[in-house]
Amino acid sequence: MILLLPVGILLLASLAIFILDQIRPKFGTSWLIASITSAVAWLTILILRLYLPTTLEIFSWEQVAPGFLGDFSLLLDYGNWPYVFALITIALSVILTDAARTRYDSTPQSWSASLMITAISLMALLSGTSLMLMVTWAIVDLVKLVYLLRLETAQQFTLRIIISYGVRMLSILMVFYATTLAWQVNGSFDLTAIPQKAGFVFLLAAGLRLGVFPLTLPFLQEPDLRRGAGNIIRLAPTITSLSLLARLPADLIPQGLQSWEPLFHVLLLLAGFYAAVRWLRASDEIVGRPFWIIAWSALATASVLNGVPAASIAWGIALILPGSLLFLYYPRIQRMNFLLYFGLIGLVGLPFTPIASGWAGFTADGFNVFSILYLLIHTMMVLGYLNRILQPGGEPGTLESWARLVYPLGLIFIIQAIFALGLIGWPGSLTVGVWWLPLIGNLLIIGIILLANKLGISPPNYTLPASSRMAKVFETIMPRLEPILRLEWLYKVMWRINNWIGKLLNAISTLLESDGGILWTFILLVLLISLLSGGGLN
Amino acid sequence: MSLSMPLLWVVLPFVVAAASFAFLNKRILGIVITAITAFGLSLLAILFPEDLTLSIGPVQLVFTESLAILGRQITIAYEILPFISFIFAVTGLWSLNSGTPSIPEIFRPISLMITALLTAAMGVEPFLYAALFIQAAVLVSVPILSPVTKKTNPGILRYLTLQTLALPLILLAGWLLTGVETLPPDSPKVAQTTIVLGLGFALWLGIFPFHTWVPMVGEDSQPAIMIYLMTLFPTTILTFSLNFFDRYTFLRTSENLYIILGTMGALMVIFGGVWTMFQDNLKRAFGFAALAETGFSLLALSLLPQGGARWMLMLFPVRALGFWLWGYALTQIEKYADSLTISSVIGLARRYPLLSSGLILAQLSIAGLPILAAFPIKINLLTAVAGTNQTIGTLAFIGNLGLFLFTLRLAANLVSPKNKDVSHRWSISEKRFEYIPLLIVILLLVILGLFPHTIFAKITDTLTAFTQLQ
Repeated sequence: MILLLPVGILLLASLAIFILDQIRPKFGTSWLIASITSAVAWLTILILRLYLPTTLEIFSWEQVAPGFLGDFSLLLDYGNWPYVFALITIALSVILTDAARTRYDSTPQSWSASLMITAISLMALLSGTSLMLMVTWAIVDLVKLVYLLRLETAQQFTLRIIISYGVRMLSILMVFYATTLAWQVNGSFDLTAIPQKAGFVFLLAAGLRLGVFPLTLPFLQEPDLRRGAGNIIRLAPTITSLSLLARLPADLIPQGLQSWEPLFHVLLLLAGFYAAVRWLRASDEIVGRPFWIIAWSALATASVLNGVPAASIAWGIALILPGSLLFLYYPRIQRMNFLLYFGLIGLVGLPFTPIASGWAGFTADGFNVFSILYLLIHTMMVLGYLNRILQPGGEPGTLESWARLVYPLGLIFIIQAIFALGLIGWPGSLTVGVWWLPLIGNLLIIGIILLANKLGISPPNYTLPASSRMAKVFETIMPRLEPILRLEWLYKVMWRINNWIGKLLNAISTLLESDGGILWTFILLVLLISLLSGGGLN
Repeated sequence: MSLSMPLLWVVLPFVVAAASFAFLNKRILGIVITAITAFGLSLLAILFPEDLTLSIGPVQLVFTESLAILGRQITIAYEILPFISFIFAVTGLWSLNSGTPSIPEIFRPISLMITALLTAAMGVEPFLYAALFIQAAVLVSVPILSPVTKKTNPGILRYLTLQTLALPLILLAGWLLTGVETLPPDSPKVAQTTIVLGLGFALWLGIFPFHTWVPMVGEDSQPAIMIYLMTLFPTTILTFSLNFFDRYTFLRTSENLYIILGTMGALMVIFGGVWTMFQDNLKRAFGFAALAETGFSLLALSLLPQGGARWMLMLFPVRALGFWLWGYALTQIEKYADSLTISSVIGLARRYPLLSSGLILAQLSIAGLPILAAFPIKINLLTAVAGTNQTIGTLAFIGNLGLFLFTLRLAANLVSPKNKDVSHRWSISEKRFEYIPLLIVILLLVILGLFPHTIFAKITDTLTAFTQLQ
């Protein structure tokens, strides 16, 4: 039952803040409720690290409904604890750092939404079975849909919001299909033992949800989802998908599709490179956030594709924690800029740092061209992060006195989580890893910085001078390359085929429903009978 | 005192229906009488004692199962009561939704008559006479589909023609069946009989290519009426079809028949799903979605040896609730939109968010979205189908995506502001009496989505009436 404690606390707090805001809006009280409850939930998750694995059977259809398969349970083990801890940490950080954003998007409604989405996402993360996962995904998607649609500024994005919901719904349906495949193998199963037959479909489901496999980016511009609640709303669904990746079987590519593996890598690399370039060129971290998510997710998915699902945890943690450190660091204050360097420790991947174990995901099939390309994506992401770190900050005088205390505290919580997960996150997290790969990567980063300095490009603007030839080449190529990399051409072709099929079906309907339609009915009937009798009716 | 059960579930609704004609203009009274009769008979059916004896104070009513009419017997067996309870509950639910002016006043008495006729069809002996009762129910439904004040549309004529064509085929099949039992399974007569019987059921259920009346009638009739009929007729006909499997060994043991049922089921799901996806008219979309649902029932029937009848029966109540919500939301939305086309409902959700959510959730529930009612049954059914034939299971899954995609199209239109330059704030404009039933049904759908064995599982007890199918 203790597994339900953090979820229950957060749900109650969300409800309390919502009701309070409706009856007697009190900013301070709401913030206090949000921060205390999320701190208690955080502490509970931390303590639960001592009791892994912990399971909770909720109910089973098999036991009560004859002929049914399926059960609902929660599970906290080494596979999902790092993600649970990361999620609860950023939820707490959102509330604490929101103290500094009272003039921007920080409101009791946004805390209520943050806590609600964190609670449901926790349930999704703790899912022990695919049924539980589908149900929680469906709930979190609906909550997110309602929240986004209700945003005043979302009016121009409604179609994008629905498309994004549609993609996530499709991922749920992929889990649905994967579950039917898995049940055929050995009946009910839990997520620690996903049958190989269903593994690839589960990967597609997670890939779709992450927007990486295939590349889907419904939001090129975002509605008003910036820092606090926006960060949770953006990252929570991603975390639940990453957690699924870590549980997939090692040999998940079906026998008939193994020759296609290079193509899957190419698709991932396309997504990864496109996102990395966009991250590097993003005007600020919020504009670059969707690409940050795509690029790291591509690295996590690549690890699974290479047969090392456990390595995906490292890349997932890199996405969540150092990313949140950057996204929640607003307003920027010059004296606090150094905190972001701690985030860099969670990204560079050197031995004994949190993502040192992730490199194994690129070398499982031996060191090949794909390993180099994935390394390059990592390098570009770190460079982009450095660029963002080096942006100047403002003065702390703009903050209220209490916010001057809790704002950095919120960021420190993320930093401690980076260190804690590096040390005790999951078995094998504290490792030397494939040390020479990050070494090459980091040398490359240093080389690029030195080269940039030599070319006269210095922080905080690691961008090419507008007059340079290179910049002009970029300006010419990128607008043309982008639609290709975003696979928009493919979606346009599919849309045309869709329209063509629609027209064809309407024509058939018109024919069948016209005055002569009943004669067509009998012609079709004769055809059908001949087909079926040919198939062996006798 | 001795009474017969058909008096309660066949004669009484007829008497009430006839009496209701006397006060057609009194809408509320009509609703109350129809709802009380339908829900009362539904409740009685579910609570009826097994010894068929009702004790009301000192009065003891002993019931017999049969009633002789014109030399035939109508037998309402105790085992069939869960199903009868279900169809009366459906009629009761729809009568509650019949207060809208666009629904003709005769809907209420006629719905009771249809339910009584279908009940009689389930119990008539010899059972082939059921075809006559079903035909009578079809004929009785025509005035509500095409009120005398309206020009008859071609869809109604096609509905009547195709449904009537089923009657001689079923009767012919009955005649052929008398000699077939003793023949070897590879005799051509067995195949011929199966084809004739299959054609009869295909016509009744609107199976491809006999489906054309469904979207045509759907487009032109009041949505609630069409949805009511599409709930009641297919469920009764499919349950009636179990009689054939129960009585004729050659049908029950024919592997080819199950393959054909599975193939036709998958075809219907794909056909209905894909066509739904491309519809612009919400009423036509329902028609195609209903065809896809018939496909799911056929898939369940194709698993009869593996207990598929249970899946089929369990789908009925969740489908009925989903359809009811769909019809209710459409009927209410029809009041506020210019028409029921996708382009006419643009931005409607910003003024009527609860009705719009009801419509979307009804469709998602039918389609099988997790946490909604059809999900537990559909995921188990598709697993079983795929376990028998992976291709058919996969095709059915793909076909089912059609309704999801249509729902997304509809949702995109419902939430998009009509004029992007003007700020459209969200507001709840629905009246309380409009959204409370909706919220109750949504809650029920969620409960059923998580606990499928709770509220309506008793309907599977109907299988005890078919001794060979358990």
